[in-house]
Amino acid sequence: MARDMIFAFFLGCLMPNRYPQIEKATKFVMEKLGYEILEMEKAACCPAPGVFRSFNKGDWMVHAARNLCIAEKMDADILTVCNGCFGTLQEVNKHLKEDENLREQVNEKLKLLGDYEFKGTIEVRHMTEVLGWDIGSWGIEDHIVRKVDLRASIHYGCHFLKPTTIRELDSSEKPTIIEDFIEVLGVEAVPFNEQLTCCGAGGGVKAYDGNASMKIFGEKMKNIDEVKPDIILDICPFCHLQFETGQDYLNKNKGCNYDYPVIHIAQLTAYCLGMDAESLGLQYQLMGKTFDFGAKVIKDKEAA
Amino acid sequence: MKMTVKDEKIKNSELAEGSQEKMGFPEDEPRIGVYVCHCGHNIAGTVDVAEVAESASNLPNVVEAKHYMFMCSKPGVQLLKDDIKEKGVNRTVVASCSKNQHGRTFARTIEEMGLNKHLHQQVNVREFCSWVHKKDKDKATEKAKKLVEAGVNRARKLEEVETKKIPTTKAALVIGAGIAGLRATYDIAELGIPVYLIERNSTIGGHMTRLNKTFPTNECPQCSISPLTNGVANHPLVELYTNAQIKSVEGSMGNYEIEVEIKPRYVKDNCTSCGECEVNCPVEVPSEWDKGMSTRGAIYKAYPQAIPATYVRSKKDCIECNTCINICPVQAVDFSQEPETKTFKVGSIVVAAGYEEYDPTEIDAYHYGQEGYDDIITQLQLERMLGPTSMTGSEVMRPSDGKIPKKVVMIQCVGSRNEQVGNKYCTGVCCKFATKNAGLVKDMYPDADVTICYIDMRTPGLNFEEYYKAAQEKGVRYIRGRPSEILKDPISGDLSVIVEDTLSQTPLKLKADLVVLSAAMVPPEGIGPLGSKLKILRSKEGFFKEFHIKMNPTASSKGGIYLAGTIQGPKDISETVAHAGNAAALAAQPLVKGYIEKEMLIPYIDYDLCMDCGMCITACNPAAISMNEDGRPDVNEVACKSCGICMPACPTGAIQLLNFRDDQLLDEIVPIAGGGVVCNE
Amino acid sequence: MVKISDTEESSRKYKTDEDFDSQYFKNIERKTNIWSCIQCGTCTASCESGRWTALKTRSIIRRLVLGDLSVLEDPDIWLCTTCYQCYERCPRDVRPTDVIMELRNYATKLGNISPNHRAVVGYLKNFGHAVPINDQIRKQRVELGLEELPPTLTKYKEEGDDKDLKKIEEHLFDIPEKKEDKEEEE
Repeated sequence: MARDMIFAFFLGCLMPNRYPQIEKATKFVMEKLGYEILEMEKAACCPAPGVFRSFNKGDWMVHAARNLCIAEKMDADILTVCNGCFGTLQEVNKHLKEDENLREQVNEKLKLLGDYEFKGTIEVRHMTEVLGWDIGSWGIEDHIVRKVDLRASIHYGCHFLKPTTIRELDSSEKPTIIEDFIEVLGVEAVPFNEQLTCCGAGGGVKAYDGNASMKIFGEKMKNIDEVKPDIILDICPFCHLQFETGQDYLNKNKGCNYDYPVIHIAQLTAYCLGMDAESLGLQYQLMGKTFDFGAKVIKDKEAA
Repeated sequence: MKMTVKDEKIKNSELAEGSQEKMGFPEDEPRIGVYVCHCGHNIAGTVDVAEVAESASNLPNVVEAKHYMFMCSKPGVQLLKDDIKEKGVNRTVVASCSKNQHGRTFARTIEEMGLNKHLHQQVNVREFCSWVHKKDKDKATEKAKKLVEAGVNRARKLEEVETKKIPTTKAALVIGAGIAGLRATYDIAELGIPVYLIERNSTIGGHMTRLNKTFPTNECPQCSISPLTNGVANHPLVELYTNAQIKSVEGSMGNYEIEVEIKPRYVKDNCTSCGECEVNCPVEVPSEWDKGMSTRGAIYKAYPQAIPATYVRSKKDCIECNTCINICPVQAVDFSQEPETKTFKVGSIVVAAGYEEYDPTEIDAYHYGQEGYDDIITQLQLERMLGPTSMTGSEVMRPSDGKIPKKVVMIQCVGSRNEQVGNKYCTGVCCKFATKNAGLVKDMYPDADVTICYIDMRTPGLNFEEYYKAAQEKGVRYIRGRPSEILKDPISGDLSVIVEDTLSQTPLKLKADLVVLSAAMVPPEGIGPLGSKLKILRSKEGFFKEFHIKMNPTASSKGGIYLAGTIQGPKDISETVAHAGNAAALAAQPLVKGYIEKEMLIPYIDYDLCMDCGMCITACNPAAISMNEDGRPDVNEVACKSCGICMPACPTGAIQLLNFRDDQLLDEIVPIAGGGVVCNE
Repeated sequence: MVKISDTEESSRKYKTDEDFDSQYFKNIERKTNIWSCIQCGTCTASCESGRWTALKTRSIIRRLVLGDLSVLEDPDIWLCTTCYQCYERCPRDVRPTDVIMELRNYATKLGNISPNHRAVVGYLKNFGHAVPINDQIRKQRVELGLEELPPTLTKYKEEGDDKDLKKIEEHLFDIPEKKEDKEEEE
């Protein structure tokens, strides 16, 4: 198999340990699209950019480099479905490739962790980027089993696109990569006020000051609720966690009555590529437990 | 080869009684005087000046070596004069400050004494030595000795340099007919010098004709500029060409040959400006002159008072339906016109190509120009709305629905002071024009909220702080903070501006019916190719670079080419007019005088060594070297800038710049590099 | 209303140079950009967190430039969600997000770090994950047809191989105790 069709799948923490349905969906999608997905033995936390980088930037890089080295040994680019993991691994990979002095320092400390040496031979990719650009709406068409008539409020999250000078993916002020991709799945993007602001979870704030995090999130939900979408579509398990537990918190503490299903782009795509509704795992999620995906399937496409 | 002064008169000669030869000193033998300056403590505080002078006195050909407190003072220069007169000193070495600072002072002194000024050698023991080696006096003194020895070596072989008079062509070219170009044209023409004025647009007057009012007096810009536009257009010594662009520029200071391409108007001069053609033209495109705030036909006149008043046809917009040809009552429309090329000979060139308003589309967070964000406009667009010939009848109207806005928010520093878009500079006029427009809007609609979001309010100069205060008194709200973004509510469609009021540390969401961006002034489109044709340098900001920011802000990097107005950097109208006036005066000087003086400090070619390879021609920046009829390189002594770049380019050492010959430079380098004294062969 | 006579003895009429340590941050990354901050407020205006919390990005940068070390004790620096919106828009390329994260590095060295964040470091050292797995998710994974445990360091530890985790624990993220806590212990 060509090297560009093989990925080292970096799991991170939240996906395997909180939302395994996203892991399942990702594997399903990538295999349907003809990719080979390899497990990364002995991988660990990326480590999370908002917290661990805040504690010790040098150690954050070393730990990230260790994960990168595992993929280098597999001679495969890394695939991640998490903005945090993407943020850490993509940024450290880029810095270490470009800065020889930094590479030497990090490699020196990496020796303490085992047989690792960063060489700079791989890339780090976010699944959204692979779907949006490598496959594209034009490329996914042939694989679609069913389209869904859904109105989705899209949440890009922060670390997928920013800092733009490091990610070099899409504009952070008017991105279109997700909108362009989901249209072909039948999904309509419903814009809402202050759409591109943070969900309030990142930077260690969720752990540091839950109330502050919920204030930011509460405003976000208020803006989403104004446009009454069918689902909230995200591309990051940490944002996913915030949208799940956050709605629950607001319902219990702030008299809200939200029940918006929170769907990761991997889940949505997997369903459209033929994965059963059960495997979407909504029954394990806090919100939208009773949401019937089947009822949203556009009939003519399924028949065809 | 020796050159002698022919034209120079000996002024104020203290050698009136006779030449040095008469006094018994041999003329050919170098007799060098060395003078070490203390410069107060600047040099003497670090360098042992007495020791340096003592050491210099032992060098070959040195007949006098002295040190003195201030060589640039009257008694200091008198030392040189006395030694030239009494000791037969015929070349001087002053070890003091830089050549730029006082080199000319001493050169002038020896010139007064009848010596060629090029026989003075300046040695810099201040910037190059005492100032940078304060901590090690011994080593600094040793270094100063070596620098002086190098200077003496250099002085030994210096040759006299002739100054020639070059006749100039009595005519000037002005590029650009905005306020700067018009001012320069008029000022030059009034000195009796013919001026060719070329403008790439179809009308003259530039940005100023677009403005509604001008600060700080709020007067009508059309009224201010029209005497000048008419004065220039009707001046007997001015030849005006619109729709015209520079094709090529040849020559050098005093004598340039310019090729200009003039695009056809497709309307003959018998046009009566009746406007029938445009009224009946089926094409409608956004008007460039009106910054897209109205439309024009494919055949059009930019604005009612346009000069020339002749209509013009835009070939790219025209659908060739021939309606205008048929309807014109005087048969002035002529699609068969062809571009023509004209050649002018001029002595000076004034570049007044102006500026462009920064296009804010690249600042994503402000959404300018994006679909659904019609109510975000620039200040020039607001000017067009307020102007007397506006589509809106001079009312402020939201482009989206024509309603009069109740809340207007202006954002400063859009494209200025912004490293993200590559413009570090402050445009310097936006605070003033935003204050002007905010005040005018407030005058028209006293109940409207008008807010200016700024980083720093910069209103220097007479009358401007008062102007700022007057706007505050009218109720214009100033918020110190740079907006992070302009939000559009996807449900209501309302715009709001997000900004921190930094003075009260309050994040604000300001509702805005109309947002006005105070966009920067940036170099005009096409400045790159124009610069290449003129062979003048640009600043890192992209404007044309002045020779010296303070002392010579209108000279370009090339002799005989001058800069007027915003082509050199952002300016308001008053500054532009003053700048253009200075450019005109400098451009006129050599033309009024009739000649320029040029020192013949030029390279000489040893044709026995020259292989005619042409490397020097490629290397020469001012294009002063060319192949002659015999296929051998020739130096144009007027165009030569004495830079010496031809020397290293030459593979055989055949081309040698006078007084900078390889052997002369080697003599100078040897003592610094630690070698011994190089004697005259 | 506070009368002047009521103000504490220790509060002074003016702050003086002694109240600042202008050299403290001299090795901060990209310091020349930080020193060139023009306090325009684009960062604060961009800050989603700052609309709800006490976080004022602009003022943090200012205090850093002044060498006001109280910024290292200020809980506000931990309210940044690292959304990078200020970083994207800063006209002087100060990169406030990076600055705040570096300030947190300085604060962490002094032991100024919350118990919750300390716990996250503990999880990483114990399980290789900032968010470890639990029994419910193990069950859920099996139901979804996935391996009960993914092949990360947690699995290796359960199988008796904790060499990698031990090395990470030993060499990375050594978070000092807060100074005054230490003194109390002594």
